[in-house]
Amino acid sequence: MMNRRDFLRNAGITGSGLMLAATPWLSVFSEKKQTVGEKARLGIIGPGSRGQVLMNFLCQNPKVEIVAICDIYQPSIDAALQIAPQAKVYRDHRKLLESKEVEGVVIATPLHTHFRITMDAFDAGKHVYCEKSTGYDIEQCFKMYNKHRETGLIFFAGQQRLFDPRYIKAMEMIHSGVFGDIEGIRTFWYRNNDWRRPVPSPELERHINWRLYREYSKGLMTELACHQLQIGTWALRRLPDTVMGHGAITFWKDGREVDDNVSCIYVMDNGVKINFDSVISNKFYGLEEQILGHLGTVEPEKGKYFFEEVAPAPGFLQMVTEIEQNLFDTLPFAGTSWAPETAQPNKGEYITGKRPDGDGTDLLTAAFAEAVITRKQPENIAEECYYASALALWGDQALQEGRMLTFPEEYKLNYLNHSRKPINENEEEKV
Amino acid sequence: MYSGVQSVYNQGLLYGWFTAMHTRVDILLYGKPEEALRNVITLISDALHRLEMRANFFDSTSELGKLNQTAHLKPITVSDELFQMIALCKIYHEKTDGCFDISIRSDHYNAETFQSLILDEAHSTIYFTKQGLRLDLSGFLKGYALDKVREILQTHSIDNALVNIGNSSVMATGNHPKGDGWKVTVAATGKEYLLKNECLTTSGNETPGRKHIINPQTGKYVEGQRTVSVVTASGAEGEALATALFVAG
Ligand SMILES: NC(=O)c1ccc[n+]([C@@H]2O[C@H](COP(=O)([O-])OP(=O)(O)OC[C@H]3O[C@@H](n4cnc5c(N)ncnc54)[C@H](O)[C@@H]3O)[C@@H](O)[C@H]2O)c1
Repeated sequence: MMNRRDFLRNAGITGSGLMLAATPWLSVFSEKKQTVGEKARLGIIGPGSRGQVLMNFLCQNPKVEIVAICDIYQPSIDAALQIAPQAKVYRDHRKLLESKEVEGVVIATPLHTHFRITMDAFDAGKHVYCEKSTGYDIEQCFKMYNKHRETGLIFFAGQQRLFDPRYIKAMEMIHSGVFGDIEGIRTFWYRNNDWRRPVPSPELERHINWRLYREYSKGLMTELACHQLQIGTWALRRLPDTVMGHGAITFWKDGREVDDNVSCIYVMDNGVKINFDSVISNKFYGLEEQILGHLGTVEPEKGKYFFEEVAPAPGFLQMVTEIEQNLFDTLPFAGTSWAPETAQPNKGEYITGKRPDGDGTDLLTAAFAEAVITRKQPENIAEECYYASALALWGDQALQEGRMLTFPEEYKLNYLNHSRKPINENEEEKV
Repeated sequence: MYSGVQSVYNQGLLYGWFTAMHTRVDILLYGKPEEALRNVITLISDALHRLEMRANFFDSTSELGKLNQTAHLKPITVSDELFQMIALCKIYHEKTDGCFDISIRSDHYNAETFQSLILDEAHSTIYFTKQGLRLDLSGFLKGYALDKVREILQTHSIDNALVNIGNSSVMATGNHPKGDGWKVTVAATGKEYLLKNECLTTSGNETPGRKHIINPQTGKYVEGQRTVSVVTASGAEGEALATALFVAG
């Protein structure tokens, strides 16, 4: 039902050539209404907390049928059946993958299981949406990506900001140069809680609080940083070459194995940096990706942009940046006021003209369904998702080793400023 | 206040903005190479800042500021431009039956105050017969500036432009890249106007609490949320008319 124009209009933005250059994966919402009446038949593996959020969106989508669920924890199965009562229940993902009914799977299990389940799914010929981070280390991410390329099956990860209108619109403005040269990206995610979930009985501690143990997760880097690092490279259209950082447990000394206090610096070849900081014993600054241009700043989590000096008129700005799609549109003028702008604090403007609502997860799941139906992998999705996870894991490695690392040549894709040096002649053709 | 020109160029269109006259000026141009368009916006910015130095009521060192302090002592010779502006305001004062009145901020203002202003065209002098007379060109200046901008555009053969000074004074020349003329909406009223080589001037109180225009008949601020927009060939005339119509109710 949804075509690209609908998507853009619903998102409160009008489309432009520039925007599609920044966001080529939006072509997934094809202009043709060719998928009307068709359904993507999906299986949900690991319908825990995130899996249920995804199921709720998928259930509202007339193009989706949830035909199967798989979990190893009864309360999760019970909750999932509340959402999709018709779904067949499995307790082993390999059994679910044998089902002919299932065309694609949504994997929302803990991190350490993503690789095995994803590889099994590709082997079984299923399309895959896997939650972030995709792999437990860069090598796993790389293998998962290559498997997707070899099989030609759809591969999405849970990077919902890729479909969040305020990010899409912000990137369009950033790439058109409105904020000048982007000289730095400061990302942070602060919380003030122990990141624990209640455990019904002690032997379930590791099953429920898997995030806190290294065997299952790499903590703040794999759970949070991957979202924000992707915003950084999306804005810069550049991938870092070196990373350094430090991590420690400074406050929540409760037996956990992952850091509660981390800081990483990702450095591009031109010296521009992306910072990621997370402290989970103070929530004052919340979370943000502060995109710093020499003319202005974007804070997409708040949904706002700010200019260093005088802010432009949103109507004029839109006209110039979206001229391709613009018909003979009217320009709105705010009113009659001519209050001196310097007297006002720099309150900024909303990127989409309104307070943000939603986070892109609805559209991300809709896009996956659309791709499963059309069997067309949207451009750059797998690459963006690969690097989001790879950069987070590489940063973690720097924290662990306590030294500056260079991005491993063998795990580079031919993407943006990264290029693969052919290892042998065959390799060149394959990649 | 920072007044440098900032701009965005995309597919032949240049949008430049800067502050002048206590507000933001927006200019959209196309139809010439990028450098030429940029150059014209810089020239416009320079011209508007010069205009401000001449006629800023709030700056005691502007030509108008000095005039207001000394013209009651003896006739003061002023620049052609300032003389021309004040002369125009006198004409509009007559044409609007006194509803448009630049002497409104004088001490002990009443409907007769304006008569204390004496213009001597032959000598380009201005004289105030009463102490306390003060001329305020703030409202008028934006419209006058639009007329200046039009001259600059014509000199540089830029046929298509949309110019906005503080949202209340808009001038459109030529055409939108995708249509005839330019469509503009006044947010306060939701009314849309199709401008073809015309100016749209809006006067009013945007919010119930906001008041900034004085009624010459009463000497008091006009109250209430109301908006008046006029379309005219000249920006200066638009300012005078919009103010007069707003005041007259
Ligand atoms: N994109 C986002 O914003 C976002 C938000 C939250 C979580 N997540 C991601 O979603 C994933 C799950 O997180 P969560 O908070 O929902 O965790 P959770 O613990 O609430 O849910 C995980 C579920 O997987 C089940 N499970 C574990 N091993 C399994 C296996 N081998 N086979 C089948 N089921 C298995 C568990 O029983 C549980 O029901 C993680 O990768 C996390 O990073 C993403």
